[in-house]
Amino acid sequence: MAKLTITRADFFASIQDMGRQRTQHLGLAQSGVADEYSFFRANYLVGNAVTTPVIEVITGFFSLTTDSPVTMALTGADMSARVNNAPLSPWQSFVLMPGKVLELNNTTGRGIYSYLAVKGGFDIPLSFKSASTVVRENLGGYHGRTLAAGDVLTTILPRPLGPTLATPADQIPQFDKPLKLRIMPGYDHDNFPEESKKVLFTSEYATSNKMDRTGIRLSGPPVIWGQGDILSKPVALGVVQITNDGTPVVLLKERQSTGGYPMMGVVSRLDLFKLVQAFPDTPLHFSLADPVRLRSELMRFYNFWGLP
Amino acid sequence: MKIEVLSEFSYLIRFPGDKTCLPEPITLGIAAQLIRDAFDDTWVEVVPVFADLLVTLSGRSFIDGEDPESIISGCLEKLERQDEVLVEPRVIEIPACYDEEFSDDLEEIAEKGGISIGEAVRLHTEQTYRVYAMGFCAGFAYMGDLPDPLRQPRRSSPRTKIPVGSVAIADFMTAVYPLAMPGGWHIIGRCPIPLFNPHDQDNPTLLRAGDKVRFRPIDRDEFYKLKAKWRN
Repeated sequence: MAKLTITRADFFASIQDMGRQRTQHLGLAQSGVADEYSFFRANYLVGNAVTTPVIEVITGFFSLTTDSPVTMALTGADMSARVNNAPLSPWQSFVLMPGKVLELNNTTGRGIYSYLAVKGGFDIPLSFKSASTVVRENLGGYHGRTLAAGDVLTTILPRPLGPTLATPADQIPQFDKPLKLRIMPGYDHDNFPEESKKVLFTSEYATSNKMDRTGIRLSGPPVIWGQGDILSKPVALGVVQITNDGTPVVLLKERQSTGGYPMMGVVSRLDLFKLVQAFPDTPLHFSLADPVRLRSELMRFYNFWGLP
Repeated sequence: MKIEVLSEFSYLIRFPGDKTCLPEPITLGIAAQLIRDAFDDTWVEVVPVFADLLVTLSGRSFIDGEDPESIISGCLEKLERQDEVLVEPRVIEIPACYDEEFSDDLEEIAEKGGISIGEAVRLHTEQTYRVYAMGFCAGFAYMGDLPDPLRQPRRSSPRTKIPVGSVAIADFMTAVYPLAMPGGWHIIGRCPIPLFNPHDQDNPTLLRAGDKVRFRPIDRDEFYKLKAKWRN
């Protein structure tokens, strides 16, 4: 058992796992890691079950120390990590020794969400079968809130440190590339004017700085609904909703379970893991996609990680 | 009813109805339960909201066995075969104090509806509401329909924080805020009992979609007594 002390958490760092299931009909948020690929990889590198809770750090400015040697791995966004001022290579496991400080510094433009896994996992009570933090519901994670300097996290078991592992270069994602988002048409898609659909699927859009764990607003030509208010509907992960001024907003894991804006369809889940990592002003295009094809692709992804 | 393939692992089931003629929430509630039972341990979310039901399954549902879409069709056929509703909705009573201490917008609502404050409270408490959906935040129930004189659009500028327990109205709906949240609804009272209890992991919310709800007016004394009782 090791004690990790958070020494800096300036922005938004929280405990996350795969999020909650079977609770959206009670109004609870799904929550969970924004980028499942980087999350699974971080756990894999330290020999954990890939869905073990980790620390999700948004845009760096985070540091911690340990009271005994721990095997850790850092994946996701490149935040110029250092251990006692020596650059740390991400996407591979390493041992953090007592007295050393692991720092995630400023952003590099390559990614938004970093994942820090520790061998053995954190001793965090589950709330509705998940450790994922939802601040507005005061649920999960570290007393239902984001991590702050002075917080102490305990690892679950004393574990042998084990070998360190690295990620093959071709399996480290590039987070600074233009995006192609595949949309499965649904919800109100068929009721949008033809011209508006054409605008969405042929124009260039870009991510904006209006982003958080609930969703990302996009900039680009407005998509006009031009009809009256609609009845609220249940909101799936990755919905593209169109606000009153025509702005597309992609809804993420911490979204509310109902939504009253017209919705164009759902973005491929695998594409979402790239979208969340995109810096503001990353160009992107939408295309229409077949859900059955995307389903096979998603099932292959989960199978790769040994998940059903 | 129409089943739409929504995403990799999700379906959207659309029930006939619109804002002026909504399906009975208990019908969606029964459909939701039939679907949960049919998929047993492979459903992830079954979420009824007004006239739509979102079904999200685990990848395992697609590996072998019957096509999930035909399992859902089977559930909906079973639902239609039921001539009468076999499950009666629960009726939940919610104590609410409409004292001016808790009802910032009640006077304005009454004035706009051309009625007295007492009349507004009477109208709000005499109606039996149905829970059309749970959403917005944990334990938040969208209930309707509000009597006509109480109907007003949302406030043009939302409040940054609505206190826990606030009884609020907007459009044709009423709700109680389970958590302190920002919101644009009009505040007309306050409920002293919790709508969301995270320590009850099996049954954390007072309300569920399909429930029937009535508000019982209470005075400030009873409000604080109930509040103290629930604190312990």
